[in-house]
Amino acid sequence: MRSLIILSIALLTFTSQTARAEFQINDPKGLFVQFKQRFGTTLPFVQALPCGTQSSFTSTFSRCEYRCTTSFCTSRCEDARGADAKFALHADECTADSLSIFGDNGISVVVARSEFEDDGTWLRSLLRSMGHFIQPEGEWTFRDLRSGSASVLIGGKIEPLTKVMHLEFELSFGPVGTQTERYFILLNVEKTGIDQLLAFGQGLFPDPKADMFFLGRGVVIKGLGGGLFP
Amino acid sequence: MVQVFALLLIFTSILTHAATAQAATDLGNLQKPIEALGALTSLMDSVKPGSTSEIGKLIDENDCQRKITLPEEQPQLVAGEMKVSQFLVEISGPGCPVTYLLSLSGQQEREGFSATFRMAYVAQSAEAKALYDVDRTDFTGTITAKMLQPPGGQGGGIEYGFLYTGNGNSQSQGVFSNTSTMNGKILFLVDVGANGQPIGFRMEGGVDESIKFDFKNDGATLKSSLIFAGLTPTATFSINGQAVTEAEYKVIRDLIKLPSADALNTKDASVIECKAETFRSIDFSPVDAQKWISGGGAKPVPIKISRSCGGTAIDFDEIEKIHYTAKFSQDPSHISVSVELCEPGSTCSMAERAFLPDESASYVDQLLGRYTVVTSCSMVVSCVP
Repeated sequence: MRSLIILSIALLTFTSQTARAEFQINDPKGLFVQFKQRFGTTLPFVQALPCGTQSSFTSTFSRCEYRCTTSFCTSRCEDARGADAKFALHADECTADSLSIFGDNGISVVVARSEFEDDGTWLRSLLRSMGHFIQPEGEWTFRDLRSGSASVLIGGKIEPLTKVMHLEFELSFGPVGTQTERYFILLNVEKTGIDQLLAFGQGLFPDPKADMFFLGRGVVIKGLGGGLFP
Repeated sequence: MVQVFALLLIFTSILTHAATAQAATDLGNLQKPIEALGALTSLMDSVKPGSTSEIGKLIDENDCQRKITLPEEQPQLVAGEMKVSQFLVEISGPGCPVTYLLSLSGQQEREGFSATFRMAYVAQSAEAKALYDVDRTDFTGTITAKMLQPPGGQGGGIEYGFLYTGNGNSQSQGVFSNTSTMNGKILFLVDVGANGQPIGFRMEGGVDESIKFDFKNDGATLKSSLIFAGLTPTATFSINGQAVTEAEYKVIRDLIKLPSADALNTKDASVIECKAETFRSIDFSPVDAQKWISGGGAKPVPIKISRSCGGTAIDFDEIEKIHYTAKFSQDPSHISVSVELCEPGSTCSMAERAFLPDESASYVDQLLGRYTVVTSCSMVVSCVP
């Protein structure tokens, strides 16, 4: 198994990096609005994302550090071990207007009620907090929203999930539109809480062998998803 | 090739935990305490925080303190490709219903390593005593390994020793003790022709062990011998002087798991072994199998076993004039195990199960209405040969 992965990523334009406080999120196609309209929850914040709940995940990467020159970027990612490889996310420190999601791996995600109600998901808060995994903080651009596929392992049987969405994001460190790296996210839109997140990994398409920051425990990815909205 | 040596060590080490005065496949009165010992040797799987096992819940719900030093925090001990992880697990506390310690530590030496390990378990409360027939056990062992270089020749080898002493108390059979020794020396030799080029290779050496296992009113002496001459090892197994088959040994061996750091490990340092065992339902019904998985009853010798050590494997066979196919496949999220039985020219029946890649679990299916199939996966130090 690899202990270190070096990825080289060509950039179209020069990027010179300084660390930001948190990731910026671009949504030029208004896909968060579409998500909210089709799949966003109408449950009150405290019911949709209940305090005290938790979900377990595995991760292949603990940290990825991007370094950019005038013509390209490289990323150096370390394999996850111990609590970085298997961890739980817990919803805690809940108030009427926000809660925090803490991970055993050290990640901390603050979810504001107003933003949750705007998007119908806590995903934007997670993206903003991905500095735990990725340095320096760059920009996420929401590129596509389509149906996906995933299953869960229950009692030794693989049961397909019926409503899975595949969200495609582009990570960049330069001006908006700069080509960098694609990431996929799979969400179970029948859920609204932490367990809504099925997988978050590198690549254009979900793949069982993709490197992932989050893979829900027991979640089985068979490969290419895609298609019309369910 | 050195990996083979490591397997032998593990294999024979596991056997040191089990013995019987009766036939190997019929443990009789010793079945219950030996199964309890097996459960205790794999206790680390059950006591991790958040475990849903009965003992895990008992520990979580009481005043227990866990001290776990993960393998990755301590260096592995290495002799060639033979590696053991150092670790320490302690569970204790004033109100804790059990005390438990499992440790392995040692030092790297110039040509190998030496290590000691200890497991100690005491059930303090009535609730804890109800979980396992063995309510107290304490054993210590030493492992030494040294790489060998044949004088003047090409090749290599390993020499190792294993000493184990333990005692405990079975609630059904009373006090017991166990002492065993094992010594192995295996050389992999390359024969060189007159021109200095390799012309062949062979193995020499062997592994001998002697195990004495005494319960209060019962006991057994278990011996095995592996001799390497050429490329194929020959092995003999006996219990109380009576020869038994390797398959009969495996029935015992599967009861017991060698204490190791693998249950604590998260990645790269352990192997998941999966197997599919097929029984006649008349001998081992699905209900019996489910009961056995839950820790009750005995398991007979299966009519067919297929195994995989991670990755993909396939096994075609014919059992009782029925076409048998077992398939194993693995990706990062899960492992699939399937068994299909097809009667010639007619009905097929398949059992298909999936497992998380780092969890021990077993499932029961019945095929063709008369075969019980138990599929299981578990983390092991190294897969059995």
